[in-house]
Amino acid sequence: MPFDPKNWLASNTPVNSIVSFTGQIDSDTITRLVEESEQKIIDSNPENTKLCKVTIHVLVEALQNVFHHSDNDESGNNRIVCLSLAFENTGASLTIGNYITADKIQIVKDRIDQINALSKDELKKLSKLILSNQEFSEKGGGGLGLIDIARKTGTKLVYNFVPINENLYFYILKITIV
Amino acid sequence: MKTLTIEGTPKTPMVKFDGETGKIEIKGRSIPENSIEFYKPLVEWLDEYGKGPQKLTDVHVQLEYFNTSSSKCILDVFKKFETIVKAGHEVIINWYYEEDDEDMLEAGEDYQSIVKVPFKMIEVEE
Repeated sequence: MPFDPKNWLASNTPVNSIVSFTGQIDSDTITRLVEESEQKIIDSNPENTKLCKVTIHVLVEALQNVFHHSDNDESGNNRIVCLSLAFENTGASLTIGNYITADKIQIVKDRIDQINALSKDELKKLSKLILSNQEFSEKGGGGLGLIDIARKTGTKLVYNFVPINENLYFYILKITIV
Repeated sequence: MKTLTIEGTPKTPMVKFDGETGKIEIKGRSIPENSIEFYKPLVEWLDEYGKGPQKLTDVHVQLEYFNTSSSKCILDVFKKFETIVKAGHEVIINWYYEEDDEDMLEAGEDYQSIVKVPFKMIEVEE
């Protein structure tokens, strides 16, 4: 049976999920998802403004990461994302997935492993180094997105790659915000 | 020179650059997918302003959120102020952050350590 992001999300969405989405994203969809999430977060926990802010910040970075870097699915559709956001008083968890070609997997794994190995201070130094020395492209922040997520959340990034065929995988990133 | 005014949107900040008074304001959210496109006119305006700036350029940056693709563009804007300072003019960047927003304070401190322009960190109530 071929991989279906909707089925995957349905079986992996936490019971306390406040937002879930599967489909193609564009700039307007990102705006809508961020606004919808923000409202639901504020409704569910109006007291913890710091957690609300970090969660929205991480959501924006994660969605825009997919917007800029996702690969096409088997039918040639681009920017297909599956997303679930669970939010509680004590923390939040974001699961986001997109298609990725096999040749990029090692690069992404190495990148995340490198980020996960760094301390808070090391992440801060790396972030400043990239910001002050590296040219950014129209696609985004010169690799700062994941570093920024790790810096803001203070937790380790968890990844998984689900094989679709020998050339295509579904890349799933789980982010915990405390 | 003509004041640069851009209305805020859910993804881009309000911008008001007044060349007559030297007051520069950026306020709101900066989370567009293509930040370079948004910040290009700001950088161009500052290039022009830098040719004959006011004695004091008073910069006010009050951002609720900004994404990493905006972070480089904001640095490009700040580097224009650095050029104005190097030319012998006074610039102050007032960096606003909400009282519980340590990340925004830290972001301001990061910029402060990269560009040679005086910063003033201003805590505001939510």
